[in-house]
Amino acid sequence: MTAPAAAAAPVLDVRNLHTSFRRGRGVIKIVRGVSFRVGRSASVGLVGESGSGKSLTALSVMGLIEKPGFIAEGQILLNGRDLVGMPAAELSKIQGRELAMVFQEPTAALNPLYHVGKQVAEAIRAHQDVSQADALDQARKLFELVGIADAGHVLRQYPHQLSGGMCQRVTIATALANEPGLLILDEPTTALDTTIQAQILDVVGELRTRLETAIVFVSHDISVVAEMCDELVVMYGGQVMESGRMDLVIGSPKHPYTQGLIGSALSVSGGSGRLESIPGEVPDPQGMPPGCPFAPRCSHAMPQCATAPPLAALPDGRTVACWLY
Amino acid sequence: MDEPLLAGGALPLEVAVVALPDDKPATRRSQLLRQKNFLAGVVLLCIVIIPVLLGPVVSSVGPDVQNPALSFLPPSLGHLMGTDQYGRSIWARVVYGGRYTIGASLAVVVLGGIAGTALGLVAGYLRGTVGFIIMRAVDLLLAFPGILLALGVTAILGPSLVNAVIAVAIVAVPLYARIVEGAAREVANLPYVRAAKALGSGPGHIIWRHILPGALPGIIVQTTVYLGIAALWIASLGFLGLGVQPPTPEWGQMVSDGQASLSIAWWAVVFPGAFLAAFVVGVSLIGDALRDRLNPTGAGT
Repeated sequence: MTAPAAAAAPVLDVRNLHTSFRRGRGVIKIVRGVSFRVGRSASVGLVGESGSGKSLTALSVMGLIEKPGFIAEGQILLNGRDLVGMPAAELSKIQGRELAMVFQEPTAALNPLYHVGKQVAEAIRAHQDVSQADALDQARKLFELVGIADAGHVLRQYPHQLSGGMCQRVTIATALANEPGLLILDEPTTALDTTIQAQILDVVGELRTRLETAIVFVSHDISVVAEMCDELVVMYGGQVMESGRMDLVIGSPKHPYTQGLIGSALSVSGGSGRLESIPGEVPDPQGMPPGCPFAPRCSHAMPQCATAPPLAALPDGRTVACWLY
Repeated sequence: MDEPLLAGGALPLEVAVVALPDDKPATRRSQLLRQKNFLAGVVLLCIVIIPVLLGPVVSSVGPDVQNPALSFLPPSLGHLMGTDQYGRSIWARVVYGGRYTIGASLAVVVLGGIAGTALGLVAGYLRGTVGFIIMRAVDLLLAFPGILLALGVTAILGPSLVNAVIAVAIVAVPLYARIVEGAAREVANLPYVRAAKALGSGPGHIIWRHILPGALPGIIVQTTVYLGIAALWIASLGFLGLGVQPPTPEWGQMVSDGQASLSIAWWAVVFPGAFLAAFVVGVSLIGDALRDRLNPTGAGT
């Protein structure tokens, strides 16, 4: 399939990423050695419960980690160039042009003081030397691309005049303004109603088929990700538990945590029968157990789990961090 | 099945209806009061500013025209506010003098406002070492009582109107910087600023387009509040002989001029003083109303 091609020239190659926060004299490690790749035009779902470090991984890739947070270790290779430690001025030339992000709260991600059209134009003009009128014209086309019916009218609206779903379409249009090779969507539908959520997912799905943009879809909802993405990265406690092709992982999850996630999601597990819940809760980053972070909640836990399991590569191309394999 | 639901639904509605008349007049009354204050401020300012702006139209004599034969005339139809010891028309001097007092206070808030806002924006957005240094320098300036600082600066620079403006503007810088820094810090954490950063906007662009507009309400309120204070201090420096030099008229300096002959010619002191007071009070009333309007969460005076 696409696996060899993706391995040849990934758009994004995150290697052993560690992102931490300083608090007082101590350091709290949130992301603890995350690695994954995103091939050209691929779509990767980053899934985990709240506190799994998935959003922070996305923010690290986007270069938006701010003090007291910092990237302690690892590489983030975007088209072969390492973004970690890149000077801010150089980074800002890449942000918005080669990679862009859609945030969780669409209304809050737009400045309430400007027309939305002006804000899309601003994104265009940050990277392209075009006049305001041309930028607005491009913005109108982008609005049509994301399915805004009355694009010319919406251009001159303020964010508070638009619905959450419409605002999210606007932020998606903004993110696509400079045709980035990689689009990160951080819980883009979590703040929206279910019906609007479906519409936004349709927009993203359609854009995927029309544009060459690769997608990293961050969500706590494995059923949404299963619909949107070809590959899956399951995170827990700041580490990757399992990753691989979506159909393989959903079809036969290997890691006990992945099994639990799928068992507790309605549409992925088939919809009939009882939903299962995973007992216990996500450990506090300061009280992370040594070894496998999931061990305290795992029904298969064994003495070996006190030491961290290595990411084992399975014959079908996926990786699992569990002593069972 | 439906009935208990209906009854339950009706209950909060009743409570709401009962609560409304109790609640609304109070807020409406305070709103009206606020409007009254605002209107009073506007009226006071108009009374002061219109003659000052019209200048030669409302005063047939120049402010420096001396006539020893007409010295110490009390207010009359011919001399609206009387004359001083050189026979100069107080009305003319008040009207022309306002240009200096008000003009100098405007210059103060523009100069001090721009410098203080710029420092506050940079400190609030960048934080880190740069922000720390700026804000500690601001703390240092704030540690001096304002008028003392202004006096010190004019003492160093020498007495003149321009130096008085510089001195009072220097006092304004930390006041603006502190308010703007707080606002900038707050706005910098909003999701849309992060979104702008994710689009590759540089710090200069983000400060100008996103942080400054967010801090603007605070800047406007600070300006109206400080405009009155600036007028008072410019006049104080004039009174002490550190501002405008005679014979140029300026309200503070006129009060100082007239106080020697206060017992025989009260009008030489009272009229410039009254205009100064009206300007300061008018500006403060408007400033208070604006603060309530633009910053409804902040505490009152």
